[in-house]
Amino acid sequence: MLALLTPEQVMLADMARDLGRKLGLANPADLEGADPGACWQELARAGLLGFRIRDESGQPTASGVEVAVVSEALGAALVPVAYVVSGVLVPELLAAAAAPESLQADVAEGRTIIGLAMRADLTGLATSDDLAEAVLVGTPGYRTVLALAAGSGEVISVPVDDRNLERLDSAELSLPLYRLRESQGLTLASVGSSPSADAMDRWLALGLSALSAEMVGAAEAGLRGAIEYSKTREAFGVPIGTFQALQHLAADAYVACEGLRSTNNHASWSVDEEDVPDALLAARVVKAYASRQMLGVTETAMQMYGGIGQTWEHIAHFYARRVLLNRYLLGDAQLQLAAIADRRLERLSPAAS
Amino acid sequence: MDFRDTPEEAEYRAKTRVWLQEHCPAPFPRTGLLTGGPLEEIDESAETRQRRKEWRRLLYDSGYTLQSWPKEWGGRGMRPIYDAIFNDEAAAVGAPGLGLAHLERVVMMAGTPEQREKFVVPTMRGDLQWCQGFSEPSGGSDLAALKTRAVLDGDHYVVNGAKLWTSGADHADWCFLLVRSEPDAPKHRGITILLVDMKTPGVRPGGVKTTDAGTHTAEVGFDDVIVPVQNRIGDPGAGWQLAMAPLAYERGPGDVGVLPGYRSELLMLEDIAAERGLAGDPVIRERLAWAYVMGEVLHYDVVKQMSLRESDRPPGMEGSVTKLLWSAAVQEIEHVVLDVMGPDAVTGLRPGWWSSYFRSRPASVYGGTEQIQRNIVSQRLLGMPRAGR
Repeated sequence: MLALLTPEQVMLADMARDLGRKLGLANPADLEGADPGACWQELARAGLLGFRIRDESGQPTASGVEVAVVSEALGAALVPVAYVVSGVLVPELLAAAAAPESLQADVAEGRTIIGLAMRADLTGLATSDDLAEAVLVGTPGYRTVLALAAGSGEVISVPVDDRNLERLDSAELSLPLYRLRESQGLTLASVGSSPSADAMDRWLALGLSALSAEMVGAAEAGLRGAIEYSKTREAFGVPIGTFQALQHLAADAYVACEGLRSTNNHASWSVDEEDVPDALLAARVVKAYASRQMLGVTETAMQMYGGIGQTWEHIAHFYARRVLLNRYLLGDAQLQLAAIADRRLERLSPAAS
Repeated sequence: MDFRDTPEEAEYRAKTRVWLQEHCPAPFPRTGLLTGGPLEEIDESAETRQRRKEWRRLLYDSGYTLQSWPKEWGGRGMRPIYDAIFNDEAAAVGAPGLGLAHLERVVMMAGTPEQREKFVVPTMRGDLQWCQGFSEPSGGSDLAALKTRAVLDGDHYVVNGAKLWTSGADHADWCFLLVRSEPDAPKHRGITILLVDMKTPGVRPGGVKTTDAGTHTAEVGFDDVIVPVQNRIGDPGAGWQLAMAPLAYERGPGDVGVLPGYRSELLMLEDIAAERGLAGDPVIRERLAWAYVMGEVLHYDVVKQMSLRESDRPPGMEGSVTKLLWSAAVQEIEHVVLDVMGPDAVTGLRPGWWSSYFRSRPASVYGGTEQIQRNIVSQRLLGMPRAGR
């Protein structure tokens, strides 16, 4: 046993961080003129979109651990794309549905961008029956979103075009969300077979772990910025970072980040290595912790900045915005904890759950 | 990243499991401040102490105790992961695991050949019981401000002062004592380690009753206690540096058996919730699940610390992160106790459970308070500046 990143995984993290510095938002003003499509091409060139393509033996080319490493780095840099949705969950879903190889290759190489149609509460994929309420998530520029066929559970593609997209007034400014203006009369096409229940559970486990990684990336990056600020900003004639009140806020926030990362080491590894129920349990544990703890970390960072951290022009709120969105994607803490309780208390009485 | 045993580790685990099942047919009773649950289940009787002593002897004679010690120290030079595997398997049958032997390590590193011979092996075999005389009633978190004086007088020191949180002092044979021997030196350079025979006249150990109504720790008074110079470890004034290394080890909850106790308490709580008809209550279900999450977070942080040690990166300031996760988890689960038991924990209709609640409170004090740990995290790990510098 060695619960540490391998040297190759450390190199991957460094590479993703470098790329993030180049592509990410440093200031809210960078959002103007941000080019998600160009960012996506850079990620494709770096090979980061092909992690879940299956090799000849049917194994993904990179594991849940690599996915978490990259998700964390891109989350930290505030790269204005939906890496976890369009770069991880979409390819994984296409692989689970045994979609045509050409489509999978197009997605992996960034030639085609695809989003997901989520149920309005963001807890899972929408079905063909609830497209009217579905919230569309993905790297901007997609012309297709994936959903499930009601009843059969087949993965289906839903064509979208700009005229049919209504932009929502969503909290995450660097990742616009949409609804369909008209959900009737669309040409829904099957992209493959119905994934097995196990494949869908692994898909969920991968997503929960990757979203949690992105959350800790964003939250800790925001915190690190506030800590640097506290070393130079003076009040009462001393750097504010000398005040224990701030030190202890920062320490608690950092401990939550470290705890999450340690736990996600296991969850992200479990995605491909553990039996399905255990992989899913591990992923729910980390997502419950992330959804409960990471918003507080971003709030600590905003608090440490004081007044400037409350202004639109400051970057601090962008970290909170990504965490807010991810908190609900694939289920918030309450949902994860309810599922954990189902699993834990199963042994006591089947009637209880 | 690999959470699985290597083939060698799996083989060791399988053999150890068989050995443990054979040699520990019945679990040991729960003991000490680190254990939640009703007070009645905590057994610190003489018989239990004797059973633990014999268990230590058996582990030594069977080659487990020294397995991870360097060969030049008489060990087998095995990787520290094997101690962790042993402790995993021991916890599964309710047996005490391998301690860290951190005091013994100090004696090995800084002691004379005579001291090593006299103290280390008999201690590892369980023949000598120790207590750790570090904290003082007046010092609190400022450990280095300790005041217990040792004055050199020819071939011996004369020790006067008092120690607190000297757990096990009432049954110990020896005390690993930090004293101030160089009163004019800066506070960190005036501290010396003395090994004190608890039978020496003037040594007055006494139990300390904690808020849970148990007596899990102790204090010791020292009145003109004569300690031969040959019982000093290392140079005069070198005690602080020598003693801090073991403190870094002491912090690891993986090594002191917090997690097995946490997990068994959670199982107990789930059973009680079901018994009280609360297994279907969504609030209680969420509380129990959250306690599980906190235990898992602590566990995987411990696993990370273990992996760092395994890859020859010594335990560092990250131990403070683990300690904060630890105290948060063991205090949270006691709040879940209150939620599950309701007033019955307070009225005594569920006897012993208010004791469990109070037993969790010192978790944010011993081994360095939560506030000191936060100072360490913010200043040493995050580089925030200290006041007045």
